[in-house]
Amino acid sequence: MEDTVLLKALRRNPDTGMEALMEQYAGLVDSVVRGKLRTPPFSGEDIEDCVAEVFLEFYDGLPRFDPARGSIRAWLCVIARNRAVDRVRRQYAGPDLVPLDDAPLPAEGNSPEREIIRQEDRDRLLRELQGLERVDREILFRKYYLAQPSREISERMGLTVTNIDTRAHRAIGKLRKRLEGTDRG
Amino acid sequence: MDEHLAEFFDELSPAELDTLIGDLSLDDAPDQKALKRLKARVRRAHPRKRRKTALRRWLLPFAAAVLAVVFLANAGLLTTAAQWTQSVLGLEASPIQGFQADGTADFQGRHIDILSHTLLVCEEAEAVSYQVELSDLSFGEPRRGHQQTAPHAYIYLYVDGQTADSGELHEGEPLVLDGGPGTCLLVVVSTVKATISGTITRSVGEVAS
Repeated sequence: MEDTVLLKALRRNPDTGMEALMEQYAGLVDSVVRGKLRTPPFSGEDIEDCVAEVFLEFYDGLPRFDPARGSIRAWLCVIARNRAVDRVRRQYAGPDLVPLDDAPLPAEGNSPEREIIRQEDRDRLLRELQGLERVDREILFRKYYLAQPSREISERMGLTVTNIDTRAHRAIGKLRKRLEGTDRG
Repeated sequence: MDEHLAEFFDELSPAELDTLIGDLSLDDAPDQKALKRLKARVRRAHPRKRRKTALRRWLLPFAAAVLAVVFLANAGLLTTAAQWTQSVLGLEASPIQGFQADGTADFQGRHIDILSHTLLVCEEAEAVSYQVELSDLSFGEPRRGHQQTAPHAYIYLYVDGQTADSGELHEGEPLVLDGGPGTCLLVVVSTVKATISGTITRSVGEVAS
């Protein structure tokens, strides 16, 4: 179902709209959340809870949703990732507080200049990733965004594990070479 | 590179994600049992919204419709949809919208069933006079709830929402109303049901200051 149709359904009849939204994107949202909460102490229950939270948050933010700033799929991915990361942070935020005097100083790398360079690096990497073959882009997305192991990627994409690993290795090599090339140029 | 890529992917905005994965078919089929549980979970978490939706979808329009019917029935105004429109808005659905080249506008067999009938709506750039002459005026039965009312018909000229002039209508007797500039409405009000026909003649610049 296209975004416009989904949005119309969500606004006209939230119950059926939400059902359609979940049917279409529950698999992907689950994958994003699972990527962050895959290992103990998180359980399947935590993952399901987080996935539900993602859809509810999307619904709550619907009045502010702007399709020009990203598709429903992309927004769900970002919300899912953020909610999962929040859970990880909450889980590992211990009661131990570091006294201010002992806290490490902020790294020098956080200056505005560094930020600009970092953003430029990001833009370049994004461009180079876009230039990769579709299959390679999907492998890298699954590997680094969804944190799926090679075996799971191979099942999802219908390729052998060896093929997945080889393609990922070559794609990263290609990226590295291109980025180094633009650095020199 | 692995760490760099993981960090990069983590910080992608929705728009960046779209450029990167927009053409990929990543919508993996969900586990059906998990999907069922998810739907139940979302439904449970949103009872307030569901109630609000039901209220908005059914109860409020229903209550509004009932109130409208009760109000109209009490006012003796519930006859036809056209009359409803007239009574609520005080406007007839299709008033004369303008004049012919000779400055006249004819109206034939206009029924004044309820309260008022808008004969003419026009935007005037200058001060104007309207001469309203009835060729036919026939009074019918009294309006409901007004059994003892003597039959009379009046015409009102509203300019920009204010009454500029008015007078009683008699068949064969021309009546001159002065108004404008502004949005002019000629509204006929009859004490009983009536049918009118006639001509409106528009003259520019004849309004006494």
